[in-house]
Amino acid sequence: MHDICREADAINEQLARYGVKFGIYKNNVFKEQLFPFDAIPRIIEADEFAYLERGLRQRVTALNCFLADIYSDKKIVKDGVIPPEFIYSSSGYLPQCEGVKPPKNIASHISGIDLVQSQDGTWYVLEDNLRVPSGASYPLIARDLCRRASPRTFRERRIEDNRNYAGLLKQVMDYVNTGGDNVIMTPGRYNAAFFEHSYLAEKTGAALVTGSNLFVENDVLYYLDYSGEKRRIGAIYRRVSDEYLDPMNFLPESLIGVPHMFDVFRKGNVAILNAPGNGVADDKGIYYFVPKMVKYYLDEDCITRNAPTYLPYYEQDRRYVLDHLGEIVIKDVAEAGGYGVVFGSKLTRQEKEDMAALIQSEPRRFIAQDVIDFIDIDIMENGERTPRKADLRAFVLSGEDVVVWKSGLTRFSRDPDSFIVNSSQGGGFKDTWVLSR
Amino acid sequence: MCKTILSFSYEMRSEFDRDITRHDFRLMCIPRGSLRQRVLRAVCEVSPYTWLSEDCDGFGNPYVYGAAGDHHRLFHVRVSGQVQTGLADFEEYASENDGLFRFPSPMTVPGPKITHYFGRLRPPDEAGTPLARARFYMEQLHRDFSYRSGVTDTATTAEQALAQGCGVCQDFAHLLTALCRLDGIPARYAAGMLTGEGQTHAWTEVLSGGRWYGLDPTHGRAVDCNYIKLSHGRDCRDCLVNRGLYCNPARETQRIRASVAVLPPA
Repeated sequence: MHDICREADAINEQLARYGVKFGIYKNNVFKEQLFPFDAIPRIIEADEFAYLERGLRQRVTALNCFLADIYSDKKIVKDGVIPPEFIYSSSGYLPQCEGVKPPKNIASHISGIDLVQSQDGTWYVLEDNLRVPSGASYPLIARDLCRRASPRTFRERRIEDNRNYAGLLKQVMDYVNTGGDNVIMTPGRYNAAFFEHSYLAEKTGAALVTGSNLFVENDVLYYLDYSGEKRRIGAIYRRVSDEYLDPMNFLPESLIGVPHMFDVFRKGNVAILNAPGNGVADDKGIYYFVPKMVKYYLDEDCITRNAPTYLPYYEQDRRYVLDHLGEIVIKDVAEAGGYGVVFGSKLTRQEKEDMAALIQSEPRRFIAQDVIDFIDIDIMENGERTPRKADLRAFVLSGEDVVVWKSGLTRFSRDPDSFIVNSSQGGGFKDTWVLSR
Repeated sequence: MCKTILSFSYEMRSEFDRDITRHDFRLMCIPRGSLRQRVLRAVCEVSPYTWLSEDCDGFGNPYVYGAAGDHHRLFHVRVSGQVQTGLADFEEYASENDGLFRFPSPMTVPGPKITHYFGRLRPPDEAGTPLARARFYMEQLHRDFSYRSGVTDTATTAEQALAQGCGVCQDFAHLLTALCRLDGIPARYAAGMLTGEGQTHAWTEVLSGGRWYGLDPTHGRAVDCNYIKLSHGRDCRDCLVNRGLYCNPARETQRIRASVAVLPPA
């Protein structure tokens, strides 16, 4: 491990050369910055990961059951487990998807589940990301470079090899493929995760395409390959959000989408990874109900734990939230990427009053959570080890089987006083080592 | 209600001042069958096209879509046929998906104007059926909101329309939809055609006693055998009659003519 730390600068240089960057739009200005890699890995013991694996497989299985149910019978709403407004008022719910069954009935193929570990060692799920979660490529390439920097480390220590991610992804694409090529669709060079799109395309052997290479003819989706030949697509791993996917079915002003792509999907002639409409399941308001989903669909107790969460929608919770405004964290359900997160302790008196009024007038808009004091992990800064808050994004792939990738993206906050680790807020990342025994 | 046979046609002609290519389109102008209306015959002609297909969307609305890949300057759509209406004064409640129509949708979110206006309305019988209350809102709206074309467009929300005090059938329908939803009555936007010649029309449908009833706030009356329904959704965005997208910057002149006539009994 010391070898790797010694080589940290060289590894970061390599990452920069490979284009491991993160683009951020702020105030309409596009800024691209390096995604800094810290060489000290997060290490997860085998038995601890085995627990996470069981919990995450169960969680993602239930979430896929929920998505299949929501766009068909809606039993969970009819049975009174989830109030209807949490479905229909969610911006992620797409009525276009009503009655559409994705190939093999899988909606969330690649799920990114964000976890933190509290000081007492308990793991909490903070967020489920079921739309287009990014980040798997970063530990993947970092591991590759670390192995080159210090092959010995990986020979001597029992670390699960994480280089199978592309293989797992390809298996999922092949399993849902309706006949044709696998492709990865990127919005283009200026997308925040363009490195990831190109890297995963290279590693899975899928063609990297943009909307302008794609077209629909007679309910079949095609792309033009490098030689200008028209090829049929059976599975498209799209890194474009739902609204922009198809201007004939979603936002008419989208220029990066493909007209009629959704119609092809509706006809069952292509698999879209992840399926459109998944936003209804990773809505911050729906998160509260995930343990209830596990019970409802699988008749099992939920293994993963949610952070203690309050829904101001319920009167009892609303009273708690208003009484404890100074101690909790409030999240706007419509926001993502670390935006719209407010720590009650940082509010002035006036701000607190405004927030209380807002919660009372729009209770459905917010969730509140107890602040979890999660563990620090050391990073190297100016040659010294210093602790920083860190979370873990675990990747769960759903195809023929539901598989948890034995690694993950550990993100840390560069600001010592901040709990927000999102890459869009300027954090860094680490490799995640899962020990094999 | 009297059974009537209506013959209808919907025609759209788009002329471009230069050649366009890769023209994709999506048309939602085919009448949908229900307990209220039976589609006896419907023919859709599109020219030019390279391929055409059809399906029903998440609301069960039929639509035709496709592309015209070759260069063209004229795009023409004609849907015509016969519909028997007046079979009932309501539509069946089939989907059980009324939750979709109970909460505000993007175009019908009530702001301060709508909330204030709604607060002033007092249905004479507050315990009346949802239909009776919705009828009351329709009558009030018909009185307080005036018809004027050219002041709103497809992007105008219900709140913006009310602030202006006038608009077209789409704005009337959005407003009645918003008012009903505020009162807890599931309400949806309906697009269709009305006897006579002109543009397509829009109104509101409300759920009452397990049946959907059509109310036309623009004319202040219940939907009767003179109406042909094409589609319904949460608001006008779900019911766009035609969508098109093409390459090349061309100026488009679009002419739409909807015409519906009562067919004399044979």
